[in-house]
Amino acid sequence: MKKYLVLLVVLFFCNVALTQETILLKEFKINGHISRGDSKSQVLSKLGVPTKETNDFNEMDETNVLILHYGDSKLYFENNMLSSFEIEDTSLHVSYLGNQIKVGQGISSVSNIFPQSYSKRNEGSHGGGMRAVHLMLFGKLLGGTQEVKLDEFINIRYDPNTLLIVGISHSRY
Amino acid sequence: MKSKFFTLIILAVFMSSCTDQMIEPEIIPTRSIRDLTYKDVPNVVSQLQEGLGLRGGNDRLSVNDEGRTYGVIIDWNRITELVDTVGNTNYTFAVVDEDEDPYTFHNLIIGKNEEGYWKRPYLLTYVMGEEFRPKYDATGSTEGFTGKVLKRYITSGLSSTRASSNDDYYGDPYVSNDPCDKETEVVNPPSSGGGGGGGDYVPPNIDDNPDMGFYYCYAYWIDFDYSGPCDATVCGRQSILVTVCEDFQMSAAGSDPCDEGIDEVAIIDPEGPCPGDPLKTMKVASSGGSKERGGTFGDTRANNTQFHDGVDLKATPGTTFRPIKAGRVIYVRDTFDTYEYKKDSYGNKVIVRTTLDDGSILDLHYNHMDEVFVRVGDEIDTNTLVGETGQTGNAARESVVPHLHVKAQVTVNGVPVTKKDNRNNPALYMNSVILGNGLVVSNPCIINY
Repeated sequence: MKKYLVLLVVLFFCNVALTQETILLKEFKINGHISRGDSKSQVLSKLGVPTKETNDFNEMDETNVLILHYGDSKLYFENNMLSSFEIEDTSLHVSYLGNQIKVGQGISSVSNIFPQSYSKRNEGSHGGGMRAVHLMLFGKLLGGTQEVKLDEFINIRYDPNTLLIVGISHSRY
Repeated sequence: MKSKFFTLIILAVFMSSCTDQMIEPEIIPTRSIRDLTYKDVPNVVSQLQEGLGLRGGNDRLSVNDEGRTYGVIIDWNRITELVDTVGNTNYTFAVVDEDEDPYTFHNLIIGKNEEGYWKRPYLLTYVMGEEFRPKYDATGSTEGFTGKVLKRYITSGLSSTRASSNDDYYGDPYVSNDPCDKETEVVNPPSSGGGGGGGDYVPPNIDDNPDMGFYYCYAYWIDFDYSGPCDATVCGRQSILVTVCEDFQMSAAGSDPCDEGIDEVAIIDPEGPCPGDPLKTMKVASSGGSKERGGTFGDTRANNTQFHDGVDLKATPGTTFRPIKAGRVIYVRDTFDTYEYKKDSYGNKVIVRTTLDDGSILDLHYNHMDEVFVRVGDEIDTNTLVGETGQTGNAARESVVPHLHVKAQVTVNGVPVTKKDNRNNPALYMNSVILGNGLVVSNPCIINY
């Protein structure tokens, strides 16, 4: 019986050590109720008139992009669907499974939401001066049934001096 | 019964907790280089004898160069063994140069792949550049060599059962093999001559085989003289006969019958990468959950379902790099500041256009650069510094491994050659080989001419 207990303890730690944090892209909401894939009209109805609208070109996908600016934050639309976001001020915020993440908030506040990613927050910093909690995203691909690792990520950037969040952005590798 | 059931539950727990999420340790082989000692020599000799059919014989390498014969000797005391990242083993033999030119030296490269098969050996002849010669005169060292390198594949005749007489080699059946390694007939060398340093091999009569065009073949006696500490295994001298083909009227003939027989000349900068590689250290940058595989070209991301349009070569920002191919600069963007971010942008970039041998156009894009050193219209070669790598554009994000994103597009008559998203794999034009899992085969500097 003792052997079984020892084995169970070992397995428990094995599980804790090896489980990968599965962060689902679809669970991120902007201002609590805007999801990726929403149309421009849906977003406007929920957020109101933007500060400005601009057009840009996505050089990597070679597609045209519409950008709605809310203060210093941006929502990107491709084919009239919300495709990405960059939050640089308090005009917008994101939530994940009900947990709010805002610019100006302490970075330690995300440690409970994404403990493993938070623990690796100092990896991969660059000369730009900021640090980031890097969230590798999972999601279903078109026609797929399983959640798989995407080539997309969310960076929660913070100032290493103040430890306050300075930006939240969705991007691709 | 209870005990078995309990065991089953334990196993089920084990399977659910570890199997799916088991992180397999990723073992990335490293490249090793070492100078062999006399203790290693018997093994190397044994391998060469077995793999190349070496037998005992004379002690000289002779070159018949348009009637002039001179010889060089392989220096058994200076053998370098290089095992690359995928297990290829290469031996570099220094050759004691006895020609009349003090500013040339030779290395013989013999290698085998990871499966143990010997690859075609080749001889590198180094001709010191004018600027290097004073340094060589002062130090006697070839370290930091700059100059020209001539690469000649050894195309046949790797086996020779030689007796003490040099005349015997003409009876060697290997000599009558096609020196160009083609399925075409080559006339046997005459059964006369020999003696002395050997190697007085008369080139085959080109008129006997008009399909092959015009070429010339040298015969090399490559002999090994081990003068260091030895045992009975290696004290005997070893000898091989090789032939090297060179076409001398290729344009007139329309094709090169010995297209791998001899190559043109390249300038080597010891501080730079191998020609054809943009960076001296060639590693693929990892890409999130897709790791290094995600940095390679193709459907390499998100469980092989998402496409990556180029190759991400890991590079510390500020690293200078060179073009993969010589060509003309057709596009430059240098408006991004260091670490300036722009979503879905390549940041600072350069496009170099090259016309390939088949007439198609190859555009190679170098992206996410920091400093740009070239301008539109510049004609550049593989020694030109294009600029410095950086993290501009969408790469200017924390957690993105700094890299040079290289993209390729091939067009024929203005129409992209069909590949996914009209992109081609830039790794095909590099000197190093990039494997599907992102490992880079850093073979000895293979020179593309």
